[in-house]
Amino acid sequence: MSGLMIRNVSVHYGGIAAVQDVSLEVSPGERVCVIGANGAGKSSMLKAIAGLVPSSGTIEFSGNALNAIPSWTRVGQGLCLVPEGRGVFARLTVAENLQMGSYHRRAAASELDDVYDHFPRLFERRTQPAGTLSGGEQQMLAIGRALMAKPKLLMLDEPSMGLAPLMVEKIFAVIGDIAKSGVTLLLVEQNARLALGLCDRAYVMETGRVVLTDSAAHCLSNPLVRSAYLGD
Amino acid sequence: METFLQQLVNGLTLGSIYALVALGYTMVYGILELINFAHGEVVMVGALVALSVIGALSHLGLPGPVVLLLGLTVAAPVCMALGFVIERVAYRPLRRAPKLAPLITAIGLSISLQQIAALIWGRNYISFPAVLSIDSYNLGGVIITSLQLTIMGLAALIMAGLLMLVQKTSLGRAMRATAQNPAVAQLMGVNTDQIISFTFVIGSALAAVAGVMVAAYYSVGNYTMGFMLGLKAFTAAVLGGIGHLKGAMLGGLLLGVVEALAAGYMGDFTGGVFGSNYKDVFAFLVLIAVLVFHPNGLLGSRAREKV
Repeated sequence: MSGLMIRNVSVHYGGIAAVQDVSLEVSPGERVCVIGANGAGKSSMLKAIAGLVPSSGTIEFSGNALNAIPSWTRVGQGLCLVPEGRGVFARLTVAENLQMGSYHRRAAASELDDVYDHFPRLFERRTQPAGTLSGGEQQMLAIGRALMAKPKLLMLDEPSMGLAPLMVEKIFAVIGDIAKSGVTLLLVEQNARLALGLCDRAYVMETGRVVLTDSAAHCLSNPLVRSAYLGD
Repeated sequence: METFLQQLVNGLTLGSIYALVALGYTMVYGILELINFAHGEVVMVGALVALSVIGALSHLGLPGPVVLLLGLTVAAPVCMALGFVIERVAYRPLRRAPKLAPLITAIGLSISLQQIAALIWGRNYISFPAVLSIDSYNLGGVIITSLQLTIMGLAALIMAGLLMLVQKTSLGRAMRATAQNPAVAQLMGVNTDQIISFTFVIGSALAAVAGVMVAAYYSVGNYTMGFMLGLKAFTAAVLGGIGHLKGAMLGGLLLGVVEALAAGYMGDFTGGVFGSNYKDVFAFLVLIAVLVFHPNGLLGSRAREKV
């Protein structure tokens, strides 16, 4: 069984190329991050993997080609994306949002309790519309909802965006726990220090292309990465 | 007082029908932010199909309610198929087009359906065969018929069922999720195209029921009947807050009552200058008033979304 493999993937919006000829691999159980500035094409690449935007090139997961199958069947393959901006259903309750996570399969009632164990806050607010939650709580909900999908590969798009430092710490602790439980991780982050601290390996994207790939430890000591993304 | 109660009964009957049609508008709007202006024609097709079936069966000597039910049994699938085709042909190809484009196809489709219906059923009024023996009950001067009771009861049942479906089932959750954020719904494994088709089909089934009710209540139907009915049901949907299920129900009932009361009192209040034939004006006056003072409709309030 192999993990995620993408080869020469490009994404175009109208005439503009957001992702150009990107190749990337994530082995099962691995934690990989993609770092880069705003507009580097990181989100577009995740959307291409999830099938939300059309792309050229090859995307394979567990040996199955994903290009030809519609976006809504990809979660059934074990692929789950927590989108940028969290994408909670604002007028559905917290509990309904979580139930949507397991829409594609038959989930046991105990699985909902497992998520509530991870995030006691969500249990307290389970009957509230998700739109009434704070930004951090919405991020918890988005991650909890993804857990309900029982993914093999969890993709997170900017989970730290717009959150207070304390909340970011909490969220990343949970992401770390999820990875430890055996879920493969593909993390897109602007906060390079956080991402590199959590992951095994990193890709650096600039203007739609992968410009560097190395172990997280090497990236942390790479002078180019340090000056461009770590503020040194 | 008797006039008031009488018109209340009449208004609630009419309002039940408006509500069923309004639900079709509001469900589609909720999921696509699109006004399906061809929806009134689906009601018309439902009514005319049922009238044909009932006409064909009328001399077999079957009991009235059975004939009516058979009419509905044919009309409902026809309307559901029509709703499915309407979405596929007129709206799906324009999913990413500017909002004005599907509005124009909707109007075009509406005119086409009317003309096709005129070809099939002719341009004359088709009268409802006398298959129903309608009982009247006199409750302290207020007359209520078995047909009115059936219409109100059936409409209430269907509306309760729809609310259950949308609010309590996994399918309903998927419908609401698709309405709020189709891209994320897809990430959760929802086949959003299928959900959209389903929404049109359900709305069209309600339209079929409403069509049969109108045909039975007014005892006539013709190819233009969907226009005014559709317009009023749309008014009812906006009145209640478009995109809001309970709003459509409330708006429908309210509009029916306002119209019936206007019909009952118009002559008295204006000294006979305006008669009950001006009742339609009231429906639209109500719409204008709501749009001026409460643009989101009675129950419609946008939930603020945090980033």
